[in-house]
Amino acid sequence: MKNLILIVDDTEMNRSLLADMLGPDYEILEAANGVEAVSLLSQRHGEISLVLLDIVMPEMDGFEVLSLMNRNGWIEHIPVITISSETASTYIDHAYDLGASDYISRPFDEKTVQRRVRNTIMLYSKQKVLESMVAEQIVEKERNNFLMVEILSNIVEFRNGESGLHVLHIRTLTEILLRNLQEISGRYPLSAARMALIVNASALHDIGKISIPEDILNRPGSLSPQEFEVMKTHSLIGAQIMEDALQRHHEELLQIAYNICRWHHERWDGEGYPDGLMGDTIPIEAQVVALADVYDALTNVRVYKPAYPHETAMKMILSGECGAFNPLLLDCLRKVGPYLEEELKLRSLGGINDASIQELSSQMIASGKISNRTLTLLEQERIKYQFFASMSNEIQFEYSYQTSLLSLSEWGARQLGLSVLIEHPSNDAQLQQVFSAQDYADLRRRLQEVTPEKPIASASYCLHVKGEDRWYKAVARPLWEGDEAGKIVGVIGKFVDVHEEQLRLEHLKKLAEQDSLTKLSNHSSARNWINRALALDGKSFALALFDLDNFKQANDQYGHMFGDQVLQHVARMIQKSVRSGDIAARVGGDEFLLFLEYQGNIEPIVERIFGTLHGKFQSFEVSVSMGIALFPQNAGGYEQLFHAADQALYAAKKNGKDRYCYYDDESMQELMSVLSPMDH
Amino acid sequence: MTIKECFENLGADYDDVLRRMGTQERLLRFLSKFPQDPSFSLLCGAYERGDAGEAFRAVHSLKGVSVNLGLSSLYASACALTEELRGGTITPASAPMLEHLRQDYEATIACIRELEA
Repeated sequence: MKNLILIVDDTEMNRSLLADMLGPDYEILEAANGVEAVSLLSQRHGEISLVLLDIVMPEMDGFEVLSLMNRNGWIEHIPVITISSETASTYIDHAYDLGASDYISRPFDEKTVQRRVRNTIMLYSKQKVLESMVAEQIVEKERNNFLMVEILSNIVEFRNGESGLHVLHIRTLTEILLRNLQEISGRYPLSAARMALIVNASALHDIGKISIPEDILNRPGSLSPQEFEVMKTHSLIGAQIMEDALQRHHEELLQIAYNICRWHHERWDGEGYPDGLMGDTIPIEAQVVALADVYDALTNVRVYKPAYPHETAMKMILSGECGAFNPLLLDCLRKVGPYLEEELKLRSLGGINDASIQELSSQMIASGKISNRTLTLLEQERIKYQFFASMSNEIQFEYSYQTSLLSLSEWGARQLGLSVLIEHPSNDAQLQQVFSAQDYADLRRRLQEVTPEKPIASASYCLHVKGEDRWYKAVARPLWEGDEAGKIVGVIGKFVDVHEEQLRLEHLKKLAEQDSLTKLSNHSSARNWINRALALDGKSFALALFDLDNFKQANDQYGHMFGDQVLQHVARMIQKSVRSGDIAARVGGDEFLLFLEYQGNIEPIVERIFGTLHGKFQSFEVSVSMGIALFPQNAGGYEQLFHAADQALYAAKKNGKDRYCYYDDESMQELMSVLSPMDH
Repeated sequence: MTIKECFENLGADYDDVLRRMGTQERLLRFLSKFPQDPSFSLLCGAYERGDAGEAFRAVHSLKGVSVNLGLSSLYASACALTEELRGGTITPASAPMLEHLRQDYEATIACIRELEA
């Protein structure tokens, strides 16, 4: 960005000549007289880096322009070089007196003009940088002061059994009261700087308590007159501490702290301690802190009293019950009362934090250059990461949003039969062969749902690796810009081979769903399946329950082992006659359940199945009774359906066994269940 | 006529002006602008009207311009008249000075015209 120069001269040739000599390095503004110059200055004084000013001009001469620049404070940050052909020293001196930085005599010399202009601008800009550096240092010092006071006072308060909140409250209350005081009265004029110091110093008001014996300090009951006298000495002790410090450091903060420490227990009516000061002989800072202290003591728990509500505290103070105060301060209290509670809750640590936050951010912006040390550390981290990645036989990956590039660890890429670098992985065909698009989308969704507190997403996926399906567990986390969950800039993670475990897991799951003897489903898994199926629209199902007619005989005659074999035989028969989508389950000792979808007529199917179940197993004649209920005709849900089939089964048994029976509304309502209660 | 000759005719130092201007191109450019500068006519007009203040400013400007262009004799006569009129009145002594100035001015213009030709 070029610097902007204002050339003020009533002769067009001169302006033109100067502009020409300054050439393309600067942006030029021109004014033909003082009035024009001032108008341009008032519009753009923030942008103008230099003024070349003639003295003798109509309307308003150069001296008048300089005076105006002085009055408006522009002369502070805009250098002026006079270019008059007047050479009398009076002229030159007068210009200097009015704040001109330099003068260029005539005839104009190209090199001189260029050099003077350049040097002057450079000087002023360095000045501005120095000024802001000094300003930053001052803020830094103030911030440190604030922190030190905070720490010191917290130490004292801690011993007192009071929380750090007391210090915060006193500061907040003091600030609120002081500000309001300035608004309603001019009697105690305070500069902003002094107010800040008072707010800061208020935290030290009870620092004298460090010398009070703990027994007295934290006594829950009341103190004897002598003990109370000891307690009262904390004012003088605090003052003494400040005075000692003041001997060596003439800091305004310490003077104010002295006043506050010594006199924050004085009363407006002179009945206070230690000096019995009255009225405005008590410094205003001590008056304000006294009031703040009383309010805070009333509204918070103390070792000798509970916390009183805000209204009670207000009443007690305003009625004169809790000390005598400056009527003006009581007015302030009345005015700020309504929002006092809220303010105390909301305030965070002091107003100075805003300034320091601003300063910190401007520092960060200014020092955009990363130090060498940082770069070195970064490089080291990178080397470590790469080393460990290469050592572990894991499929590690890293994805960057900025470049849409997915990079796999070498070993990982080899394992999966993919390249190390994959661009636009969401569309990559080769990747999708290994890791399906669906699974990819699932993983992405999980990553978007995590938070910085729990940043890890994990899930198992079946990958297709070198022609085989294998189960892997993906463990990954997003990388956010900064600490907050803002923009995701990348993802890192790994895929761990869990195939063996997955298989084992599935095996166990299966076992949990099975009847161990017959390998058919057990009742609960059958029920789950059926419930899911019934939820589907527009399908017809049949649920059949059957049991073996003479099972007990088989057991009695041939023994339980044989009985088991019969059951296994029946199970095998069933499995042969049902389709893979149907359900066959063992729901009781010798009781079975069948659940199938059908279209049109169920009769042929039932007949077929029934037929298969009949026959000889070794020397045993297998015969069954079966009850069938239909969905949606006979029932609305699983329980109803089961009950209906159960009743149909009972009917079959009642009618002679070795047959099947359909559920019929009218005739079966009252029938009891056949199945033993244990099997439900 | 070359510029050098022009300057010699006017009793001016060409080398000095060239050094200060930086380039001959710039010198030529501004020399040709000189006739358009209104200072002289402003001076004459103000003088005739008896406006000393205006006349002073005009001749002061002319003085400034001529020194920048290295037109030394014009500068000298302008200087003399400037000081004469600084008091704020059209003094009797100023009249011949103005005449002298007019001669120098017209000579200068003539030379510049010849350059352009």
